[in-house]
Amino acid sequence: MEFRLVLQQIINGLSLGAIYSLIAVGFAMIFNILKFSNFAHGGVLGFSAYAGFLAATKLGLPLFPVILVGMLTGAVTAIIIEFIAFRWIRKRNGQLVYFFVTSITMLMLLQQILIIYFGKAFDYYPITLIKTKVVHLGELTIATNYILTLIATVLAFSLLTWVLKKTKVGIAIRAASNDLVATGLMGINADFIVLATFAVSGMLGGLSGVLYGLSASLTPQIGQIVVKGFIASVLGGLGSLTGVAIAAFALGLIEVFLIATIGSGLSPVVIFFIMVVFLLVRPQGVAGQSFVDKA
Amino acid sequence: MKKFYKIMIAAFVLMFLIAACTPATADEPVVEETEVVAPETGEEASEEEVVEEPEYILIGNLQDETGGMAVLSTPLTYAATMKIEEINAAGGINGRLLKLVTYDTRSDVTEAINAYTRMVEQDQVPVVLGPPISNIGIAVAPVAEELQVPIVGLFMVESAFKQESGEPWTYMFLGQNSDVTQGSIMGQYSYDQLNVRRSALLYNNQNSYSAGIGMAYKAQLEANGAEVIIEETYAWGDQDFRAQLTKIIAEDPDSIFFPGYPAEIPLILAQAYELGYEGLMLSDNSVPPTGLSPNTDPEANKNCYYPYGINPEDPELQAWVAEYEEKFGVAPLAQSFSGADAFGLIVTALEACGDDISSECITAELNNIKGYEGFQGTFDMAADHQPSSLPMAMMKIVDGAQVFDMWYLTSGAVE
Repeated sequence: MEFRLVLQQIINGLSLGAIYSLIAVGFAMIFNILKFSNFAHGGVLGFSAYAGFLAATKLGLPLFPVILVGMLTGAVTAIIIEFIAFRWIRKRNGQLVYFFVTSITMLMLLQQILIIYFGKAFDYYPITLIKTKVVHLGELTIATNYILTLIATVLAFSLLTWVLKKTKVGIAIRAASNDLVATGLMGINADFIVLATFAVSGMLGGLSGVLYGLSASLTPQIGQIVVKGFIASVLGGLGSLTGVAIAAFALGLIEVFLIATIGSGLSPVVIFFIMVVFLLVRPQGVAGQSFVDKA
Repeated sequence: MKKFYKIMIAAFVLMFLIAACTPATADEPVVEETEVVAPETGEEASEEEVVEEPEYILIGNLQDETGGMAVLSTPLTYAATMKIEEINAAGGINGRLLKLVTYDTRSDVTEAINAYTRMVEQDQVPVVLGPPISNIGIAVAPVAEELQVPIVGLFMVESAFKQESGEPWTYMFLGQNSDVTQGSIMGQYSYDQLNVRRSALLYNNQNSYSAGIGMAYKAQLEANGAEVIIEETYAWGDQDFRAQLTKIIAEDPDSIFFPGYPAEIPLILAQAYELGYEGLMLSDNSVPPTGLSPNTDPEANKNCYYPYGINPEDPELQAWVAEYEEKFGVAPLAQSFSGADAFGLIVTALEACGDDISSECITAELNNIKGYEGFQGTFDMAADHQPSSLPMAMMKIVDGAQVFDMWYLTSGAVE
């Protein structure tokens, strides 16, 4: 394969991986605390994408306020979901499978709500939100919104790492990810920590929703991309945010190269096969921790 | 425990409130309301006059009212509604008013089969206006063979109106050019007028419509001595086509033919442009509205050509266009015009049947249609249940708007 072609495909893969990384980190944050795969994160992503769309089209806001609207919507949606869907299960020490089933139910509910109001047509973010569409690096090109996503991913992840390591709330979140019950016994408000985690996860979902929406067709099913976040979480290791982020970039690269070599039809087959192998051979992923019980 | 029940009750109340705000669901047929008028005076009946309840001819309408494909299906419902109002205002067909019975298929073949079955068995419609979605047409075709109620639609993939043996499905009728015809015309036009000799093909191999047009285009090019130098595919729901486009662009084609649905067309246009490709971008009649600005960067779609069912600039269509826009608040698409023609075929068959509004009569009359004058042109219903020799309007995008180039058939330009 020609070298320039390979480089361009690497750029394509990293661009895709940046989106997956944002989604996967938000997804993994909930897993760290509550030990289940929160597919409702896809609904948060969808709601945020449409909130950003409305902010851009109805209010005429420029790009960064649109992103902020998306993040705020994501945080609020995630908090509401925590209150109405997951808190009561946690309070009653419900089994992890209840969280998992409820998360899928919430994803479907949120999608159906979007279908009611937006189901009749495809929507698109205004093309005027980003003035310069593409940046040329010699013979290579990279879309501006993907550069934006890469920067946003690095910034968000850096900020998140700083919060988790240097702030009281972050330390409490890390403590809760080890043992939520014990954290509560140490005098930390576990409810607040869980809420804060959902809020942060929601903000990441909102950010990824808007950034993904900039380059996609907006449909009520846009949140189904959360499956890619789930795959990245499995490969990287549920429990390790760094591993998840790296795995997401790797997933983007693998996907692009599979499409370029064996075609888009077989690409998902290979990816899911890789995931099954990981679940059998190394269920904790590349960098994750082993959990006795998880959903 | 009390708190748990309070939360559950609140969640259910929330769900019911949301459900109360929804439009009609798939289980509730949306029936076109028509005003009852006194036949002699045309005025609304007064209290003193005794007006007989009019007889209705129910026409089934199998469309995506929700879901991404609604953008293609809704135009058929709108076109049929306009036609019904016009006919009913003139007294109906043989004294009977028309009424549309609409079911939402939600882009789901199981929903479509259930809806068709319900409208035949419960609503007892004698004829159905079918969808523009080929996958649904393909799924419903064998069911129609069993239930024996004709469907006239825009499902252009041949397997939706022809069996594997080559014989037409008895009760399936196409109201526009098939995928093979459209792809062939596009291939011939590209070769003759755009000097395409080394084309690339990018299509959805899970979508019979996209694949059918793509293969027909390829066959037509090759019959002329040109070639498709690279083929790449994508799947349902794909939003990123850069991997495929990077490979395609590396082969330096003079054109990229990308038949698809409205969701992916602007994305492919934009991503090809972002990857530095400035050659010809050729597609199908699903380009409007999403492929036109403001959804798509004018720089990205400036070299885009595609076939269309009608010439939007035709002065004879403007009055209908204005009425459509005033009534529904949106501009008509190709599917509006071809949908109007499909519904017009149904009306022609109903008129020919007189008092015998039965599926048998309607099917027989649909087979006999000759010289039907529609928006797409004048055509017969051919023996294989598709229009005979319908040319297509070749369009190009200039400054974000579609511009008519010429009429074309597989045999060449039409004068």
